[in-house]
Amino acid sequence: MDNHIVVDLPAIVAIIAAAMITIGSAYWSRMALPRQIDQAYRASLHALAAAVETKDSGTVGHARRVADYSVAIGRELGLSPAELQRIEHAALLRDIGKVNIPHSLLNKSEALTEEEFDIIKSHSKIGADIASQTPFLARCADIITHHHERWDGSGYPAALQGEDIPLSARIVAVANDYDAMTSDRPYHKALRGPAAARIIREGAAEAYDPAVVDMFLRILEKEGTILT
Amino acid sequence: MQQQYRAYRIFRIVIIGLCVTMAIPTVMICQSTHVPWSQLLFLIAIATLCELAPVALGANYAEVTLTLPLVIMVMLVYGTLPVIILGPSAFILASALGWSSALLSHRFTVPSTQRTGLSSRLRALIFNVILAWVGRPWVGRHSGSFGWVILSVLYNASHLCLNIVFASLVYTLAGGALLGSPAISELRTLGWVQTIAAAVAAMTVFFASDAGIYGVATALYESLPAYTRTLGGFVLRCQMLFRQTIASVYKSDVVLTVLGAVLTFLYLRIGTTAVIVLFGSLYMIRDAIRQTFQQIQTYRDTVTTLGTYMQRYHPYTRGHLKRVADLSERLAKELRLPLESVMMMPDAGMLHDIGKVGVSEDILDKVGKLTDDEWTVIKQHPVKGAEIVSHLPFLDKIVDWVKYHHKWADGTGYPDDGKKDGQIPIEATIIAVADAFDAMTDDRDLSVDWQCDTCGHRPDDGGRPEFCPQCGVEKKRVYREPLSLNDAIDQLRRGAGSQFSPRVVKAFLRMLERDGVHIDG
Repeated sequence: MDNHIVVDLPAIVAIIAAAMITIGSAYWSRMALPRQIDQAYRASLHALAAAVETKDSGTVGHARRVADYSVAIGRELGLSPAELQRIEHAALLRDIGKVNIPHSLLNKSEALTEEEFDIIKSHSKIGADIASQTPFLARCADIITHHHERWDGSGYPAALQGEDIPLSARIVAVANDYDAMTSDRPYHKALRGPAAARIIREGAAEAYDPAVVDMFLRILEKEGTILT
Repeated sequence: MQQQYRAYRIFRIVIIGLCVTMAIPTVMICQSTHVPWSQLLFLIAIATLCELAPVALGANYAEVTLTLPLVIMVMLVYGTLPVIILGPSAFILASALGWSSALLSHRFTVPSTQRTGLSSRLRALIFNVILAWVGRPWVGRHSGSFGWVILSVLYNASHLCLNIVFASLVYTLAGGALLGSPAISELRTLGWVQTIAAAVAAMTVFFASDAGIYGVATALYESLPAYTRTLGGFVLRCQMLFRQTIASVYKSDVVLTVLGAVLTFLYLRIGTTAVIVLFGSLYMIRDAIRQTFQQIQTYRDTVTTLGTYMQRYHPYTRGHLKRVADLSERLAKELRLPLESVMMMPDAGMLHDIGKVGVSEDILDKVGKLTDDEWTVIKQHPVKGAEIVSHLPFLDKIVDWVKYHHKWADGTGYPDDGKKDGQIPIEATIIAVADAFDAMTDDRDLSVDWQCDTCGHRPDDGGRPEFCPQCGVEKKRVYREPLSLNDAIDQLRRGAGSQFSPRVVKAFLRMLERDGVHIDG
């Protein structure tokens, strides 16, 4: 045959194709796919959060704001990206336990009796239970459990004090309370940003971690909600 | 073996017999060229490896093995005898080697379906059927019996062999040339056209035979009384399965055939190296693609989580949601909706009432008439549900289905946004019919007064206590006599045109009739 032909075109085409397929699949599995999976996780969490909010207050969007504030605080405090993601997911799902609390209690405009308040309080533990049953949410369980703890130990469910409360839970607590104060609920009218910020500031050292409050106020200043 | 599988068993033995009796004359009629034994053994080894390691070609494709391109190549290059040796022997070898791991655990179970509980025959088809000679019938309950497994392996090999036999016959009769024979160098343009046409015809026959045998086998295996009672019903079911199989696998079939053509070309030009290079690079994408399936699993998990959420909130809905999901899916199939709609129907059925999380339990469980205010709240649930579902990009198709499942065909119903029949997605009207039918035939009803069924006590204030005040028996639900099937059907029929889409009701009645339900009037 033609021994002088050195270049075998089909072979080269095949090898180039193989190389392109290899590079493409590496890109897909290392870059594109993880991003898509991450987005799918996040979308699922938003849907779950929306379901809780539909039941809880009837208006959707709190979870997203709490998550945004929590992540902003965490970033200011220099937390790792992995921890920021954990905070975001936990903030979205902090109230998922409310699925087991009757509407009539969640939206009661009169003062709650002690028994009723105990039922409401159970939501953080129930939420942590639900989260720990789902593989990709299990790591958020401790934040969900403790997002109603107070710096001085007056919170629930474990009445932890100071730095015994996980840092991420302390962050979510501040963001959560600020958002609750600034939105309308059956039992109170919405406060304006600066008024709510003042309450948060006063609560530092008592209800909230002072360092977290510091960061949070700095963020509010930055976004122009309160003046310096 | 259970009585109900007798017909199926006989069918398998018939297929094995048919394969043996047809293979021998086919080899004598059809052309083959000489293949060195070493080369044939090498190809069999490669085919066995392929058979052991299925590959997924993309998120929308089912898992396939690369044996098929190899089979095509050997058929075109070497002819009938080598390919009849190669295909079944590779399959049997792979079955023997991958006895416990690859074949029984990987191919023959449908993890995504089983884990989510949203099982559907169709999804099972998509995951398992692609190479239909390995049938779903092998799953689970029979894998323990040694005789059954042996029979399955032989049957599946025969199934593949029969496909090859039919394809070879067509290729020879249509005048396709053997690409590996020395005479090929003298082939002129017309000969090439004829060869390519013969190859296309052969592959078409291959896939038709594949889906056909699969359809009959599955219809026999299902042993649904409604289908097996009459020959007509049985044939109809076979046709339906055939169509479904074709619809779910044709994309992969095309891909595999093209791969077969590429492989044949490279094999003729470069030789054995081509096989290794091509398969090597294809297997590199395997793990990447596997992750894609994991992602699909994540989606499914989300639907389950949301569905469970609703059930946790209001446990009685559990059975209802599942039944609506199943019924809607069957209706969608009956109406021959696009495959994508059929596949999303179970999810939509599970999630159609998710907006009810926004409705207070007091209203949902209220006994007696609702006030106008309470109705206003109830009427918001489809829109609320649609909002929740809209957060999930992979479910955006069903947002409108959820939103309009209480919209009447004549434009009344809710939400009140002026849409009429024709503007409402057909899938929403399907859910409406399934929902209404299941509610009518369900024995739970809150429109009647609370009454203790232990002592017959009926509270004066119309309340709905959890414990009977008189005898103390726990009592959470109010039961009633469900509507009889005929009354429920009557309601649907009367509502056709006003509340329900006539097209969907008609399909529903047709479906019931085929199930063997006798309908008056």
